[in-house]
Amino acid sequence: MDFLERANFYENYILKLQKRLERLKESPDPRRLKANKLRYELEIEEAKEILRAWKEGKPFSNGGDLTAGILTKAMGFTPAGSVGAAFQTLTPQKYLDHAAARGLPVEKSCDMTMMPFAMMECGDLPFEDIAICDNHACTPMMLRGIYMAYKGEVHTYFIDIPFEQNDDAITYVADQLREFIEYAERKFKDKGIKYDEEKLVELLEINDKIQKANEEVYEMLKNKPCPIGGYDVFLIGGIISPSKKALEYVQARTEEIKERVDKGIGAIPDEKIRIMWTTTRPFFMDPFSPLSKWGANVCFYYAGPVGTWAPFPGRIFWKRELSPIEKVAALALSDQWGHSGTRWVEPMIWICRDLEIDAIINYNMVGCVATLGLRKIIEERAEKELGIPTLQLEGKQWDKRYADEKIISEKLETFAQLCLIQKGIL
Amino acid sequence: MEKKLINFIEASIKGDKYKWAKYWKQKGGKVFGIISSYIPEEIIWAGGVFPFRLRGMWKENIELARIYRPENSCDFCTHILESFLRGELDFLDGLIVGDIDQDVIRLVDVILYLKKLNFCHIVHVPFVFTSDIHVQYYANELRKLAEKIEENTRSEIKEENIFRSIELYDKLRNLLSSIYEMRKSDQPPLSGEEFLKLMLTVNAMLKNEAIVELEKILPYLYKRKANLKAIYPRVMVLSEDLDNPAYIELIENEGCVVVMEDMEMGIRYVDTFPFNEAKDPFYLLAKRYLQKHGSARMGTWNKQMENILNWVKEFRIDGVIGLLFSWCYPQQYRAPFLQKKLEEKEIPCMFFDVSYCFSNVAQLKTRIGAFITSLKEKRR
Repeated sequence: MDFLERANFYENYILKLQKRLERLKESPDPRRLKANKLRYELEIEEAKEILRAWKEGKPFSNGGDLTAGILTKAMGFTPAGSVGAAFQTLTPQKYLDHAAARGLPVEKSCDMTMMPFAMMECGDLPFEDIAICDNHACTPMMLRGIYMAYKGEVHTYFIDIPFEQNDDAITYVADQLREFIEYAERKFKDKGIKYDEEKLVELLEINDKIQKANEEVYEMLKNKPCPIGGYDVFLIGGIISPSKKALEYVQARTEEIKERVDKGIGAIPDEKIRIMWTTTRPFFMDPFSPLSKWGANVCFYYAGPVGTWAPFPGRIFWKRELSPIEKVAALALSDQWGHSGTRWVEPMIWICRDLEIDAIINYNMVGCVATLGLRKIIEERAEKELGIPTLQLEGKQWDKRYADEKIISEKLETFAQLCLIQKGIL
Repeated sequence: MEKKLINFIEASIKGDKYKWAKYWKQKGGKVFGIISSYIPEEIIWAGGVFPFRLRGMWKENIELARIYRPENSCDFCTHILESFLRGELDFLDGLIVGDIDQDVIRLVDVILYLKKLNFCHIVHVPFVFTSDIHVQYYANELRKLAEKIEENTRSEIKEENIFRSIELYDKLRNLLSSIYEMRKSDQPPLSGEEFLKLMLTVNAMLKNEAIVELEKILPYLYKRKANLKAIYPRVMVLSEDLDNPAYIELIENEGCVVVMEDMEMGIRYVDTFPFNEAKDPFYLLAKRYLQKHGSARMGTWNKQMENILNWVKEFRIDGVIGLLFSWCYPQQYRAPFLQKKLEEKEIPCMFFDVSYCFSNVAQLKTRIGAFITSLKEKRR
């Protein structure tokens, strides 16, 4: 194996981001936000921190980003961030093949549940010192945690997230988090792991500010033309680990979007159709260009973390003042993935109405147990209640065997054209 | 007696599997369908409601359910939805499920969306049991379940009724456990296929009536020797919601006997959970149910493996056959772990993807046949 092949994910990722930064400087894409420069810088900084921690043998935590990501960070763990890494890898097939060789149901499952563990086994990501396995998101994500606990021999702490969102549920999760703190402090005493409430409060405050900024962005998405679209919309829908640099980026992003709104600048020229994209997307291609070709802009990305910032009714489900630990618990309970169908579909319909969405692209990812069984309900409700069409787009995140770039592009273009015909534009 | 036994075993296969439930309704009772062995039937029965464990229709044609459930989703749930959509389950007054898997929740979503039932309740089943916090929460979930049943039936569920119901179910499980004991013998009284049919009948019946029938049959079973193609090799089947005896028949027709099965319609129903003396019936049930041998969705794979290895020893198992539903994620994720652990102990095992309805028979027969042949070779 030569030197280039030996480079781990983060080393390669830093190079990739630096190239992106250069490209952004030399020929910026006018459709994309300039604030992305800060995002790339933030990611480079985070990647370098991980590499440093890896080299110095500092303890890593992983899993349950929404469940306890903030808490573990406040305790002194370095977040390994493996799911994010799986989204950004340049060699996805290597990891899918590795997981398949382990006998895992790669072909049938969501790629994101398969790749992080394989990336660790291949030496491209650090093995976490403690993994949090929980059910805040979907069954496969939880199973991936159980699998790693027993097959991968990764030290794992289980946290159970209940089905309902209420004050009792917050108490239940908070109680488990307190037990986790005791356990982790005992287990990693010699590595300096200690619960630091001040640090947690500081991170939670940053997180609140990030969410508030995202709420402001949400309001601005109502503008026609929509100030952002495609990739930038997906970035808002994702999870961001709270830090001063992250807040700086999010606030700059919000300001830039405000500027665009003031100047009437849209993400794409001559926006004709406003689209909500759900669940996830193919990462091996640009799915937005086939749409923008026909004036269709993806204005909103609907996924689990929407529950932490989009202002739909019932999002703030707690009825009392929360302690810092309870706030972490509430975040874990806010994830929209994999709970009742009502909890997934109601906000989706509400947001479509609120943002005057013209069409939904429902990404039917093979293996997404959390969403697949709702496809018909979404389609029927969108049509009956909003009079808008839904494209059921089949595919995976990295694996092209179900649908490749050509098939997906054709479907997207056809859908955009049909939407234009329905609107009487084409 | 043989005729009586066969009639009992075949009762829910050859006749109307819903006849007991429908009879209960005729008498003015209510029937709730249930999914998951983590839902304590004891509470439902204490509320005067007949808890009926749902099975889907064993037919390949599932065109109505397919509209709502894509091919890459759990086959068991899809077949249950088909039963709902064809009106087969119209007699149900409600549905109670555990959130054991999101596919089950999605089934409930569709049933509610199509207004097939007015009463559906989802019980949160903690996927771990590492702290008393989990037991307490589950106990509260069971208390809420009781309240929901009370609202629906407009009658109170008294604690003494729950304790009486627990006694009834313990008696039933003890009787079924004694059949498992008999299956440890060189020539078991029932084939694996017969045992699964018996379980289906017991599950479809009112439990007090099932106890009466089992008490009549048991003395005969102690003497009976099943008419088997072969008494060796002895096989254990691992699955989840598989309940079609045709699969077990196919395995045994290859010249072996199935003496143990780790699945919902098997030991997971019968397992007599550790007794505890909690005074609160909900806490008692919560602790017992969380301690029982788990499904693939639970975070207790190591404990599950320990149980499987104990059964291999106790039942003198020669080989393990895993029958996994193609799109059942918990089974599919757990299989490599089980395979590795079994291989480490040099226990022959093979895992096969199957459908809920009996299909792909020829290929399955060839592959299972080859595995059974290898077990026979090993014995020689």
